[in-house]
Amino acid sequence: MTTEHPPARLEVDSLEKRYGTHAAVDRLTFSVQAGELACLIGPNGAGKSTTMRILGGLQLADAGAVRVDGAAVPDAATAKRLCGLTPQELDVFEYLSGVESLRLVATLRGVAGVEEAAAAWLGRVGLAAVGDRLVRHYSGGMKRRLAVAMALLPSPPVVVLDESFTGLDPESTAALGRELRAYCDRGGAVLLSSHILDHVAQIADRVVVMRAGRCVGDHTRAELAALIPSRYATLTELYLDRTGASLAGDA
Amino acid sequence: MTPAAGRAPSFSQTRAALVIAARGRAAATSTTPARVRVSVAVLAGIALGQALLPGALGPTRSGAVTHWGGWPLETALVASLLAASVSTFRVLDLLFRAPDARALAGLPLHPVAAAVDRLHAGLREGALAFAMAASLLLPALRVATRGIERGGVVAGLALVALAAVLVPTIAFAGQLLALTSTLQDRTGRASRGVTATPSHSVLQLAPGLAFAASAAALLLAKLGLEEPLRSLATEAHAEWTRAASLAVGLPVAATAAALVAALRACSKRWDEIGASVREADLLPLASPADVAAWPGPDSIARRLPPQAQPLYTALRVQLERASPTLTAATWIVAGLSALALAGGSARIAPDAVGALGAAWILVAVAPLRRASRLPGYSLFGAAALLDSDGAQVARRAAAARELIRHAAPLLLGSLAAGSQAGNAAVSILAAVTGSVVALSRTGSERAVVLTGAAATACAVGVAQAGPAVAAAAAAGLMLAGASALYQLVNGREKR
Repeated sequence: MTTEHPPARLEVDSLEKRYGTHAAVDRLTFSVQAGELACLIGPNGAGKSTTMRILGGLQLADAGAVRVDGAAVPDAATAKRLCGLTPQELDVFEYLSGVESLRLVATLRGVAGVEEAAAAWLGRVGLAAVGDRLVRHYSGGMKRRLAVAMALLPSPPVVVLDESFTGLDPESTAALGRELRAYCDRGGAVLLSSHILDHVAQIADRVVVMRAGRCVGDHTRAELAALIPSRYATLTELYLDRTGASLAGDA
Repeated sequence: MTPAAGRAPSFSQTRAALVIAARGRAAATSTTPARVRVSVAVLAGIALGQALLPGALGPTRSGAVTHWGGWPLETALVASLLAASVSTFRVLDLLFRAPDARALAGLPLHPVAAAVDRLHAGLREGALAFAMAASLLLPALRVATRGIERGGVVAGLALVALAAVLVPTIAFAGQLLALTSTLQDRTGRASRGVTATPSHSVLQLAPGLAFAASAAALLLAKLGLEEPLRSLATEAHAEWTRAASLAVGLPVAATAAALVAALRACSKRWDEIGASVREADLLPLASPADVAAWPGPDSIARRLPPQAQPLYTALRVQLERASPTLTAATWIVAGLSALALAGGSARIAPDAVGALGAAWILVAVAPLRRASRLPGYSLFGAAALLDSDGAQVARRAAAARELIRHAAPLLLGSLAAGSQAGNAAVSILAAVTGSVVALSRTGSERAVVLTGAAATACAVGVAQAGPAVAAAAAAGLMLAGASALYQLVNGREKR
C-alpha cells in the first residue's frame, strides 16, 4: 500500500526565463510545503528576483510550470491572486497613509473586516503610531514592514518576499520573523530571498541555493542540521561551496 | 485563519478601491504648499506681464478681425500640440512605471478597471497640461469681451478642451495596442501559452506615433470647428454644418474605437502587457556591455572647479548613453521645421517655430531629469565628495550642455523661418525662453519662479518686436508653470 502525500503548497517545475541569450532562470525546480518558510539564497544575478517576480505574476516564464496545492497557475492574474509578493523595489503607495494602503489591499483582496484587519496589521508590524502618516514620509525600514504587512494581510496561500529584511533594525527583524512563523503555522508557505545568511540559518525551514538561474542546493532544516557543523562550519560555507564563490576574491 | 486563495475582484470592486486611492492621492497633494506657491508665482508673472505690457494683451494682428477661427484658433492648435507633445510621452510612465502603477502591479485587479484607472491618471495629468496651454488664450479672452474674434475664442477653447480628452486617450490606446502587438505565442500551448517579447523599438516609437495621431486628430477637429465660423462672414450667427460634424466627429469616433479596442485587449492581456513593459525595462541588464571608454574632460569640464568635474562628466556620459539618438533627432526636427515653415505660411512661421523649439526642448531634456535621479548621483553627494555648491555647478553645466546641443539647432531653424517671415526676434525669443525653462527643470522650484520672471523681462526687453511678444512671454510662463507642475507631479529631484 502506498501513502499519497498531499501536494506541495508551492511547486516550481523546470521554470525558464531568458532575456535575449541570457538565461536568467534555467530549468529551476524546487518546492515549498505548507507551513514551511523557505529561503532562496544565491549571488547577485542568480535569478532570485526574476523567479520571485514570475511567482508573483509580475513577469511571465518562457517555459516550465508553477503549481499551488497541485493546481497549475495558468496566468499572471491567477498568480497575483494566489501569491502575495513584496518586490525588492519597495513599490508602495507614496501618497496614501499606512492604514489606507492596508485598507486598499484588504478591499482588493476581498478580506472580510477591512478596518479591523488594517488596524490589526499596522500594530503587528509596529506602525500603529504612524498609521495615519503618508507613506512617503516613512523610513525605508518602515516601508518594508508595511510592504510585508500588505503581502501577509490577505493571508494568501503563498507569500513571496524579495529581500524584505534588508535594512530592518533587530526589533523589526524579530517581529517580522514572528509574523512569518505565525503565518506558516496557519498553513501558509513563505519564500524569502535574503543575503543575510545568519538570519536565514535562524529562520529557514528550507534553504534553496541558486546559481546562474539554476537550483544548486535544496536542503530542509533536518538536512542542514546533518551538514552543519559536521561538514560545513556555517551556512555561509555551504553557500560558498554550492555557488563556487569565494570570500577572498579573485586575487 | 487559514491561508485563502482569494477571488478575482470584480470591476466595480476594483474601481471603488482605486477611486478611494485616487482621492487619497488628490487630498494629499492638493494642499501641497509648493504647488500653491508655484501657482501663485505663475499668476503673478502673468499679472506682471500685463502690467508691463498693457498693450500686449490684444489681438496679435492689430485691426485684423478675421473669420473662421482666426488667430485664437491657430493659437489654440499650437498650444494643444505643445501640451500634446508632453502628454503623449507621459502616458507609458503613467500606465506602468509611476509609483502608484508599480504598487498596484502585484495586486489582483480587474484588468479593465485597472486600465481605466490609468486612463484617468493620464486624463488628470493631461488636464493640467492643457489648462496651462489654454492660458495662451488669455489675450484672446480679453479681446473677446469687446466682441472681437468671439467665435474664434469659443472655437479655440473648444479645441483645447477636446484635445485634453482626445490626446491622453489616443496616447493610452496607442501605447496599449502597440504593446499588445508585441506579445507572441512562443510555446503554442494554450494552458500557459503566451509570453511577452518586449521590444524597445515599440516603447520608443509608440509615443511618437501617438503624437502624430493626436496632431492629425487635432488638425481635423480644427478644420471642423472652423467650418461653422465661415458663415460669420455673411451672417450674424455661426451655422453648424454636416462637414463640421464629420470633421469633429471623425477623430472622436476613431479615438473611441481605438479606446474600445485597447480596453478589449486589456481585458484579455493586461497582465501580459504590464509584464512585457517591466521585462523591457530589465533588458539592458542582460544585454552585452557596449560601453565606450570613459571620456576625458571636455571644454565645459575644463572650465569647472576641479571638484565639480567628475560629477559633470558622469552626468554627461549618462545623458549620452540614455538617449544616443537624441542629437540626430534634434537636427532632423530642426531641419524639417525650417524647411516646412520657411517655405510655408510666413504668417505663422515665427511663433510656430519658436513654440516648436520650446516644446522639443521641454521633451528632449527629460533624459537629464532621469539621469540626475540615478542612484549614483545621490551617492556622489552623500559621500561628501562634493559640497552642494559643487554639485549644483556640475548639474547646471550638464544642463547647459544639453541645451546647447538641443537648443542650438532649433534656434537656427527658428532664425531661418523667422528671417523668412521678417520677424526673427520673436522666434528667437520663444526658443530662448523655452531653453531657459528647460534649464530650470534641472534645478529647484525657486529656479522655476525665477524663470517666469526672466521670461517676462525678456518679453519687455524686446517689446519693440510687436504684440506677438506677448504670446512668446505667455508661452514662457506657461512652460514654466507646466515645468513646475511636472516636477511636482513626478516628485522633486533629490540633491
